[in-house]
Amino acid sequence: MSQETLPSQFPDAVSAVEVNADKAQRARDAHTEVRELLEGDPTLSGWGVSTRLIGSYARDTGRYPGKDVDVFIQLTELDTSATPKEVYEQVRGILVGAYGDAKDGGRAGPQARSIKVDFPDRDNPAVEFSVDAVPAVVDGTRWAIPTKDQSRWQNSTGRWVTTDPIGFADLSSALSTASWSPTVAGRNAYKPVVKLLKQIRHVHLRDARPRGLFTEIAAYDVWNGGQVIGTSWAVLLAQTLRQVAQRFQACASTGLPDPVLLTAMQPDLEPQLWLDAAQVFTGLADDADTALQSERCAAAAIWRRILGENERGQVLPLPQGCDANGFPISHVSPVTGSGIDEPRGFAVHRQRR
Amino acid sequence: MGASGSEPLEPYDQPAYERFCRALVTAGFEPVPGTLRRDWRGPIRPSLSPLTGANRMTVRFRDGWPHVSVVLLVPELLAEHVTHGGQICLWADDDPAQQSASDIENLWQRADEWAAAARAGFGPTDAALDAFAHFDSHATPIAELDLPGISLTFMHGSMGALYARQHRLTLQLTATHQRDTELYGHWYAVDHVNPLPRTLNDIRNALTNAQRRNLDRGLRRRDPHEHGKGGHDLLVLTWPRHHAREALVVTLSGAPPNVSAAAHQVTATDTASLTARAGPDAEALHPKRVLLIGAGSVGGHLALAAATTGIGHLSIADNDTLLQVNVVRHVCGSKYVGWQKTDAVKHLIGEHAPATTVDTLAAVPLAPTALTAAIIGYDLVIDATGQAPVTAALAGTCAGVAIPLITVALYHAGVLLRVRRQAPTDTPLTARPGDPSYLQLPPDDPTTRDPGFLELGCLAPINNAPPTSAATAAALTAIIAVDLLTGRLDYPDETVQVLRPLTTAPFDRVGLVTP
Repeated sequence: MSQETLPSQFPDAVSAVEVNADKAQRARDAHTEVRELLEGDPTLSGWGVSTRLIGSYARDTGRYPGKDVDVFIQLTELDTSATPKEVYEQVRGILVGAYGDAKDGGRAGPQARSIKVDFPDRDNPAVEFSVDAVPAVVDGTRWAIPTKDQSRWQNSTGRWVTTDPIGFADLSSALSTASWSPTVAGRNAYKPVVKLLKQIRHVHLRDARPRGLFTEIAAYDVWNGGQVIGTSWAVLLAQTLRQVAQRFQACASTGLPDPVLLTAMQPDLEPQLWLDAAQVFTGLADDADTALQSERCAAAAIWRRILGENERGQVLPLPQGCDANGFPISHVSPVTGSGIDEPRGFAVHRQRR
Repeated sequence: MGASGSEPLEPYDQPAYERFCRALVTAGFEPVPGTLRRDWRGPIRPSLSPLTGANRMTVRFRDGWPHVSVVLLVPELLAEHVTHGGQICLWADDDPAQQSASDIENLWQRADEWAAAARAGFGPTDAALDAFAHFDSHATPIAELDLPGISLTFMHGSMGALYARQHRLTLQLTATHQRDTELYGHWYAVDHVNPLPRTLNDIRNALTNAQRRNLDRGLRRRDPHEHGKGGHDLLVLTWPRHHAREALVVTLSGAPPNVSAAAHQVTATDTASLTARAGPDAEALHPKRVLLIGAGSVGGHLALAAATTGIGHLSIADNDTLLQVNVVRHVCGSKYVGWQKTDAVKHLIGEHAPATTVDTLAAVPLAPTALTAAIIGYDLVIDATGQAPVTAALAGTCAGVAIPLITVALYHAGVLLRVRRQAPTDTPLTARPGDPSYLQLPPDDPTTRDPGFLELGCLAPINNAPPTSAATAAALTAIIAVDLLTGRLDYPDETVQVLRPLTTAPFDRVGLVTP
């Protein structure tokens, strides 16, 4: 039996979870503004400051609406002999000085090891958008960022955490351009499927862990291992759900390896959290497989439950001729003109009195 | 029409709505937080850019989508057909063509057409006297204004005193002081206004120097606690527009120097405006004289329909009094109980069709010579008595002097109604019985005939025809009367309408039955 892959609806679902070009440009502009501010500081300049976008914006795996932009402040002339407090306070002083402290109504909010700067939308102040800037020092061939526990910053050990966010971005890019990596209609499918997966995680796990980064790494794992094969969005997403569910199951005993450092991702989850997530994703994978074997309207209803909605509305649009409960409808509303189709003039209104 | 509500939109076509939203996303639009996805903001349409300094616009969904189109909101847009808040009027509220905008490409196309018209000038089909809609602030009462009654000329720079009183939901403006005048102000006439005023200051800038001095004096003397005492409470700015005359009516609030203005929707009260609603035959019907015999349940409705359609003179004959039990079917209500039916109908016509003159007669004589004398001079006689002897007398008499006759009657407790026309070229009524080309109405079935109902003081059972039958008979008769008076003669000389099927063909289905 041929599978119902909703080829007209899934491209819309993909675009529904992607950050639009305007937002992406805003992310780049915000990064530029912060970079110029930091690079203009003599102290940071002397520390060899160089900033980069990291995180989901850099990897292009962020799901809509994409509220947070991560900026990596590389201090190339410092290493882990520097104290996190000195480095953090220097960056904090610059950003709070420029944007004001959030606790006093400003835009810069010091976090555990980073500074978060709000960039409200000029047209929609209610739209949240912020840059999270974290300082990093050289750690051999990697980088190190301050540990989240500030009480340990004065210790001789354990005050820095090794990381390589740029390395993961490079791996993601490699996977999304590999010739063997699955494509849909000529477009590499890895990053769009990761966005859809993150949307699903957001809908069905909410604030429970694993969160977006861990889910993305699990997806990277199964895709890089060639465990996901297909030529349609629906099939690739269904297989990803299944394989990630199994990955989560395994993580309960082994943890989730960092694809760059090859050590366990920190902070690790309690095994039960992995098992709970595995159970949820297994159920979703079962639903996805059912959808593939269903007729169009029923399949759409199942996928709509799986993908949920975001600020733009339902991620997967209804196919024409289907109702929201998954049943065909005999006719749609008479949206063609019921009277004269030729429009009248541009009047304000016409009241019959 | 409903704008953004406090509930999520419930579209009548969910798949089409989701397609539309997808298209908005593709075009760079995003939902505005806190609007329940009713408002979407995105880049300004390129065709609109030259008309505004804004670079973003809003698409707003309204209840009733897709039967009710979205609206476009563009800030800082200065053009006609843009209401306060920058809402572009792409379609009139009742234009069915707006449904085509369920496809976003049709919406963009219409917006581009609007932008082109805004730059090049709107055409005659876009004409609307809608100055009030462009004003920044609105007030609720609808202003009723008789411009010809205020001035015949409205020369540039002219002005005059104005008085107003509020009557329920209307604000009635006059050029003369009335006993119950509540507000005082001035009207100002100019030759030209561009752009349409949105504020009190815009109005002031449109005035001549003398008018401006008058306005300023009126504003200085304003006392918000003492209306109608010499300072301005309201003003009217009027100018030629779209080959008609525009009027912007604003009432003022606050004390000087912080006086603010709010515009009212305006409606005309002059005779020409009333006559314009009488239909396309009003001008042709105005010289006509019609004698209506019978002012009962059918005749009363018929008289009002005939007058409001534009017939210039009506004579109404009936010697009956309106009683409380009559008001269920009669066009006149309880306040006319105790009146002669003819006087009641005449009074009611005066409220609806003041251009129609009415005189009343107690009755028409049935003697041939007297009856002939009574009908001479009329263009049409209408018999709404439902009394066979009267109908028979009129049929012969009217035929004798070649005056058209229309007679109407109800049968079978209002299930059937028949309208017969006897124009000089028609077969006389007296020749129709037995003529196979005319319908023979079925007799009442004695076993099922509704005997009517008995009532105090009545000598015979009351016909149980429902009010809707009387009103339908009256309307059809009025239509056939107009058809005759205008010379069209589109209707046959005999029309039967079946309101409920009888058992006998061709009266066994509802609708019009003609020979």
